[in-house]
Amino acid sequence: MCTLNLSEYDTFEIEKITTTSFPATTIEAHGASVPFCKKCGNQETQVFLKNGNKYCKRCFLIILRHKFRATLSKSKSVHTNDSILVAHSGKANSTLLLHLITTDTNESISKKPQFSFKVLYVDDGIAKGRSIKERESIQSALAKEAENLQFSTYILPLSNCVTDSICEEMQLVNVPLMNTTSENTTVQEIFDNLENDTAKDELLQQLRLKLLVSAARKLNCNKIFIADASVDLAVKVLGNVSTGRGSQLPFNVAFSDRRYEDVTLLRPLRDFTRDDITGYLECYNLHPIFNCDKYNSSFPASIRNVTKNFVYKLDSEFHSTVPTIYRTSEKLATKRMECENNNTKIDDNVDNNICVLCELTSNSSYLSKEQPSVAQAKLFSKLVSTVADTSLNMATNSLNIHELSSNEQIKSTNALKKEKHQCQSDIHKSFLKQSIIEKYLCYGCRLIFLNSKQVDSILPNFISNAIQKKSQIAHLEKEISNFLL
Amino acid sequence: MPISCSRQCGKKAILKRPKTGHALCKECFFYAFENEIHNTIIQGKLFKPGDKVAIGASGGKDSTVLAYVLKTLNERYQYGIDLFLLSIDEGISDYITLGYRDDSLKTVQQNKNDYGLPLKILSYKELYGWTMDEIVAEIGKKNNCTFCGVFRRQALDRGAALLGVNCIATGHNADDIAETVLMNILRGDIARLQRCTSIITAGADCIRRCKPLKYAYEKEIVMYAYFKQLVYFSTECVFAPNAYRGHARTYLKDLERIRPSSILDIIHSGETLQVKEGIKLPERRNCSRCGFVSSQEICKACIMLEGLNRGLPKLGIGKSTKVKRALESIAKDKCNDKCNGKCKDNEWIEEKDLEF
Repeated sequence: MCTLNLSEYDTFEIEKITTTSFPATTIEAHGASVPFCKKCGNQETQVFLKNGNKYCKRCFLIILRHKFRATLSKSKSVHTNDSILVAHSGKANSTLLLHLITTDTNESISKKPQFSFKVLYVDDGIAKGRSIKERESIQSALAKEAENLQFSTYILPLSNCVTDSICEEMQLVNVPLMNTTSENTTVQEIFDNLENDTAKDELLQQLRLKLLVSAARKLNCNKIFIADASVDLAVKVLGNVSTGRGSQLPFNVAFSDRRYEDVTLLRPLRDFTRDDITGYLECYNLHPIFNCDKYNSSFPASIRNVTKNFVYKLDSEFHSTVPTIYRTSEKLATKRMECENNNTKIDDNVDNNICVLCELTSNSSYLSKEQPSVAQAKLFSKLVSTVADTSLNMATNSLNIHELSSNEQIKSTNALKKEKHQCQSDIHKSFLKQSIIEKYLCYGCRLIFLNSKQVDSILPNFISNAIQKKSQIAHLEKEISNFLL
Repeated sequence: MPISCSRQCGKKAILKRPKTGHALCKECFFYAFENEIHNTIIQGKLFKPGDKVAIGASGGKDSTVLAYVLKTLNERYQYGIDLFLLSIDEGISDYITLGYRDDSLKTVQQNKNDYGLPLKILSYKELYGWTMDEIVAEIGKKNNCTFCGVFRRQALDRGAALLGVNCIATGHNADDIAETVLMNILRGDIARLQRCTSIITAGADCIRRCKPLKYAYEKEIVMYAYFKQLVYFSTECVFAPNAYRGHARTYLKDLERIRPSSILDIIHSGETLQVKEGIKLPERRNCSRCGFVSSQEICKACIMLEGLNRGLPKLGIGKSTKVKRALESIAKDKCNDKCNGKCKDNEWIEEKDLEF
């Protein structure tokens, strides 16, 4: 195990843990063969891991705590004066993370400098179709938990993402829920208009992230802890690949995600297995607010859910698969087009190539136009199965068809731009046609809105605003292009 | 009310494209399907005029459709390429029914007659001295796909070298490639993950391989074969059910059901991924024994073959360190047997054994 910078932690730990009383109910009865802890060798084993290791509770918890600290200290990305926002989902992982942080801060008073922690729960009940009563009971459970752990816990309803000024005032969890009905209905409409569970689920993930980051800014936090365990990361890897976000993998599953300049996302539980989590929860007799029985998983027919089932099944059959998957992802990076001559040109365009939803580089620009690619194959498929009179002599040189299609796209885009400038007064309501939206979203985010009933009505405000701004700037740039050196 | 064709040709649509969801009539589907492949060929610059192209023909739907489409497109757009069918006879016969490979080879024979393309059949027995049936008898039902796959890959190269072709076209479709992307992630094989989505694989001194059906959906290939009434062999390999690939395949099918574009999305992910800088990748070289492409000093096919010939069928399936150890111990044992302890004088024998 890692021994980097850890000597300072180990002072009080053992003493403290022995004094913690464990509920007797959690002890598992089986395992008659060798009843000795693998680490200390003398106490009775109480935790049985899938890899065959057996530990007594004390050693097991020491190991987990060590894992947590090792992950943090190895990366050297958390510093003394950081203030950290912990994303709390109410599920097992984040419940564990919160508990781990509390015990950690309580125990290491003497030497370890304190970080300041705040907790945020994003209330996505509207999107998941939860009743107000359910949401209220969740909130009261959260408030209770916050009281026990003595963290200042904030709650942020999902509807905040449609208001222009995201979260004017952060709401503490013990303040009763305020119902802003008009925004709620807007959010509900957005989700209802999306075509399928996958799109809904994907949009929800993106919106949650947005809210998390904006809340962190509001609360002056420069780090966010996300409680993704190894199995979640494996699900994310496969889910991302399956939704065309392969190039974003390095950000979405890395220990530290630095896509935002001012806020860093960290995943300190990335080395925790499923066994670790259930074991830990049992040892401390913790009950996550969302356990599987009470709230069944939302969006059952989403790619993420299918992926989850697939990974869980693999995990139970071949237990080295999950580590393999998420370690593979550590070795991957986004493909960049080699640009020999036109370095500067690419740099200029970088800002335009950021997807307005996920804020990652949209990868269309990285693929060279010469090589065949999926994006082009898709375009071509659409063309050959819709356009009537691409006559056969055109088809003799299919490159023509291709150019034609891109020309058509450009034409329609231009036409739309003109239209937009004509009705600039009414620009908020002006319809943004699919092609324009497509231009400012990455491949993965485009898929969310594709095939939805009404594209313009489902876009959250901030997206359409960002698109508007970007297209205006692009237009301005065009106007002065002759004078730019 | 009947749906009309989305290309507005005036006819009634008879199918919904699995790839795009558009409703098309039969003619327009043929048009779209063929043109997509043509577009892939032109854009990817898969063939040069005058190329001698071998189609890896298994008798299955992919290679049957590939052979048909390539022949059609070659005539229609004058690629100027010389097409061949190249078949590998693994020597798999079902225990109960008639032979698996015998049947599929019959299909290839028929393709040869139908399309007027020359056919060359090479058997594992000829190339390696073992049929798959014999290998399965040695190794059992598990892991036998590893043998078959390793041997087949090289068999195509060997066959192509024998025929003197410039390019091998294989029938890998979009589903296959997406599945491979997933498999390589599950196995942590970053080197293959990087190269499995490329449409042409080639090296300095090996034969070019290309995948003209890279963007064609498996379902559309079946549709095309159905509407064109192409004969193909549709039974799964009798040894297949134990393969690990099955998991990935089921997952992919689930994804496709939820969102039909998933298959292309996965390929897109593969295309836009790259291995981080500074991560060591196996380099590509040539086997010191047989001279074909390999990532190791001695290629997997040679190691497996050696294992089979020495009565150690598991050799080559486990870790490479084990292979090394096993080879060393074999060499030692042999040496001991041969020279009864007088080994020291004859160390060159050991070395020779290691080289096989």
